[in-house]
Amino acid sequence: MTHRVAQCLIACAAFAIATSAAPAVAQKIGDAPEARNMRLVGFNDLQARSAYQPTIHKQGERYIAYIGHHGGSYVAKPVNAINGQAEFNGTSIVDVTDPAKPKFLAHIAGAEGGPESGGAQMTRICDGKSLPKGDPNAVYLLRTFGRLAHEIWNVADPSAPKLVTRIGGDYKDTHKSWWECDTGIGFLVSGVPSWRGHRMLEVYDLSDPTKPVKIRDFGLPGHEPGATGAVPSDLHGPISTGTSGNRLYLAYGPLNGGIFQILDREKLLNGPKEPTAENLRYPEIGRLDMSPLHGAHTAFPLLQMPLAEFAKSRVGAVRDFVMIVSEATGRTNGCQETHQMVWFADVSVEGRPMMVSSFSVPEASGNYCERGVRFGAHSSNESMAPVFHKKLAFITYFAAGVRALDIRNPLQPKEVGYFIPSMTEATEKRCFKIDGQERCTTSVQSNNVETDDRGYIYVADRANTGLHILELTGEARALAGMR
Amino acid sequence: MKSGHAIALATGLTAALAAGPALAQAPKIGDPPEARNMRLVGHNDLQARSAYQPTIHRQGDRYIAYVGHHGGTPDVPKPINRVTGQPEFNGTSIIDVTDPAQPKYLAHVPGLEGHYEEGGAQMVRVCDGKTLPKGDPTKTYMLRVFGGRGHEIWDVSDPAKPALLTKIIMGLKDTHKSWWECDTGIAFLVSGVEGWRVRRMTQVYDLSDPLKPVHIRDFGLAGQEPGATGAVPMELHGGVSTGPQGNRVYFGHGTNKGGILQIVDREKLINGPKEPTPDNLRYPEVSRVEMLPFNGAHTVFPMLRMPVAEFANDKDGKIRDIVMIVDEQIRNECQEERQIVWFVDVTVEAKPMVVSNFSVPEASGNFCQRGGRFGAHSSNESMAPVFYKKVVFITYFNAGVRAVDVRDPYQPKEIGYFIPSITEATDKRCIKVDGQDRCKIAIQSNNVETDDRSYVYVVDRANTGMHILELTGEARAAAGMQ
Repeated sequence: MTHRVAQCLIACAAFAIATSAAPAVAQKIGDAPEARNMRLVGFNDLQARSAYQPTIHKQGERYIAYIGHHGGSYVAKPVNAINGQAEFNGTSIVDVTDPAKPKFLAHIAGAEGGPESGGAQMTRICDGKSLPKGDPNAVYLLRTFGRLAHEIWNVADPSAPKLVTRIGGDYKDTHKSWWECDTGIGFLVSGVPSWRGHRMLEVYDLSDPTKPVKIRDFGLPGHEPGATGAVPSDLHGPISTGTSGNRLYLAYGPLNGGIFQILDREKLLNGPKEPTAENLRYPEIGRLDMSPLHGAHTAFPLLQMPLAEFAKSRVGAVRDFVMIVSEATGRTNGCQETHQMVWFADVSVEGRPMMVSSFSVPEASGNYCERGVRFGAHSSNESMAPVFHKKLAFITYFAAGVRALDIRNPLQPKEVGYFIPSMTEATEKRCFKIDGQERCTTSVQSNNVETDDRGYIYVADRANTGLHILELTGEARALAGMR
Repeated sequence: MKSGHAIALATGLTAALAAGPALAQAPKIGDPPEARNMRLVGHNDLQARSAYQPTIHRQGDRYIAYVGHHGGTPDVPKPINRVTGQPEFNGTSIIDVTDPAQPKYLAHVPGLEGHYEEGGAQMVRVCDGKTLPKGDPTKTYMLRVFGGRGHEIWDVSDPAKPALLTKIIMGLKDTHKSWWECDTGIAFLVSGVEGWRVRRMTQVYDLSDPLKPVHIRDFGLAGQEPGATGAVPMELHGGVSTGPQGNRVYFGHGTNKGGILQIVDREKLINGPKEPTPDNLRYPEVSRVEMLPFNGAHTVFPMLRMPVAEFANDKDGKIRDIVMIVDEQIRNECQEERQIVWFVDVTVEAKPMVVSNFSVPEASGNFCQRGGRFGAHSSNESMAPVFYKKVVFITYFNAGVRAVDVRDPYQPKEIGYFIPSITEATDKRCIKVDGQDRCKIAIQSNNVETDDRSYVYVVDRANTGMHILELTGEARAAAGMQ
């Protein structure tokens, strides 16, 4: 072992000299994390499962992280250390009350299948006492079951989750849904078999989790059964501002052909439901077709933002924005596509939204294209807790870790911190064919991120590295008004 | 005098102390210019005429600046032309800038009677006869507006003795910033033709023989044509053509609101069906960007096939087509939404999208309090290699002219600026406060142009004249100059 390290030291030094000033960029096990104004607080390996969406829920006095998983790439059924069983990737439940010592409580197995087809990527949580017809003693987990179905589990005891309901079962796909805890309305991303795309919207009343009531199907005109012509970009996911905001922000086409849409929630719920092109247009308030080179993965509203820069202007000092995050795939490994990044749209005049700015991580700052796998944006935190909302946004950037953006002026977003976790033995290679040759690379792949109301940041890794719990330091911390 | 000066100084000090670190920013006569990475090379007072568009033309071995003027003020409607000794309505100033340190005022061609935007001759473009397909090779031609009434062509072969050649058209409702292709002679004139529903639309002319203008067609957004009903679409500001090779005309509609960037197929525009029906007006349109309703599109400046260094290692999308849109601030002292600069990615022409913006931080000069307009107005339009796709210059009214590094159009960044000093000639700008005029005096850098030697020409709307500048320091390096 020591011998090998010594060998590597020599070889690596020679390599570094050979490649001149540009550092050898491939991550190695044992390297320290790379960071600015962000610090590692705690870590859990998530049983080396490929992780997608973390949702952090305050449950009584505890904070519980519910983490959705992709299906496995090479190990179909990792062992669940809690019960000793080999299980398809599903949902990890982790007690993060003490973020320095997260406790893995339970794993709920997901669907069989590969990274995108198996697992149970999506999680949302509502308390029974918030839901209009929920059991006040219950806490409900809404999750996907692979591509096939949606499920609701009772996680009142997060160590012993119990299945409550299953919705669907024959979908073409599922994805990142939204659940309003105060009304129970669920905006589920489903692939209803008769619809033309893989992913569209199913609106459900889940106010009583034991009795889901379907309200309607929805998508872009052209998605509906019987339509002809090109199929519009698939839905990625919605965010609702509920009954008071009365808006839904939807992102279609995560990788390219991005479309961002603003809906009138009331008209969506109570408008004519037959899936005709006219009825699908009825709830639409505004729409922005992006440059087809870029996609729309997450559309996150930042409304009524007072802009210091325009404070002395007689008008136009308060603006509504939506942050749109594109998703990078790397396509065949390492920047084999158009760079996917972060966008800000001004929606102050909702009928005529316009993109106004963009953010990207400078590639040269880490030679990320050479690190392999994916480099580019993927998703943002979706918590609207006051600690960060409209001040800081956290963006997962795959090989470039998670990036903290100062978004107080969305016309000029700027990075104030980042954290790129170290890779571990668990970090799994990703292989792709380039010109017929298989090329494999290994790198941290920060996939999704969420924040809690205490100011902790949870980053989940797509390449099996686990969950990193972070906090801000320095000027980035001050910017959030935290000591 | 001396004691008054001392009192003023003392008062100034007290004010500065009271206001804390942010200075009372009203500029005073005698203040030095404010600058970063830009340096004053020369100045001409332009006879204290309100100036709009400067066009710099290399004419033989000389460089001549043609500067269009707005109308005069109610106080001085006809400034004296010192060359002739005559009072003349503001028109076009012609200055020899071969030695930029010592510009020589050669001639003034009077314009239309009228104050401010009512009169003058704002717009000027210049083509050599030897470039125009049917021009006299010994001549140089100046296309200009005559107030809002018409378009004229002058023989400026001897720039000290301009001679009127042709009145292309008169009796218009308005005119504005036209474009003239010197190699084809095709001109996209901004006109207000009677019967059309807007003040400003496009008249396409063949001016390949400046003595015999040939009208090709009238053009505008569908809904602007005679006989249309419903809401009238936003009027044109101006166009920039990439000629037969690029086959595109970029039109900016709306100056300070309702902005629309329209991309038009030049070939279809010139040779398509000409009757002004909605179908025929739609036919040449490739695409458009409808901007935020509270921002305008004053200048639309194409910067195509830009290799974006940031995307150099990406397999796709490393070369982007960009159009820069400059809004125009119209109201004084921040009485409307801030007008700024936008960069649009038009790589996929059918779906153009704004990707970034540039603005001057207000607090960097307390510009809302300085008086006059604060905000963007226009950019240089020269595509000479020295600056093209590397550095653009944006006039920002009381914030002077700003040099912006656009090599990564996704991340434009300011690398220099120059705010000229006010002079005795600088005219006041007023807003209504409680029904009364409250006036301030500040620089109003209006339009800017560059030449192929890299000099930057900034002209002032508030009568301060023309400042000839050069880049220094890192800004000079960004343009690849020594």
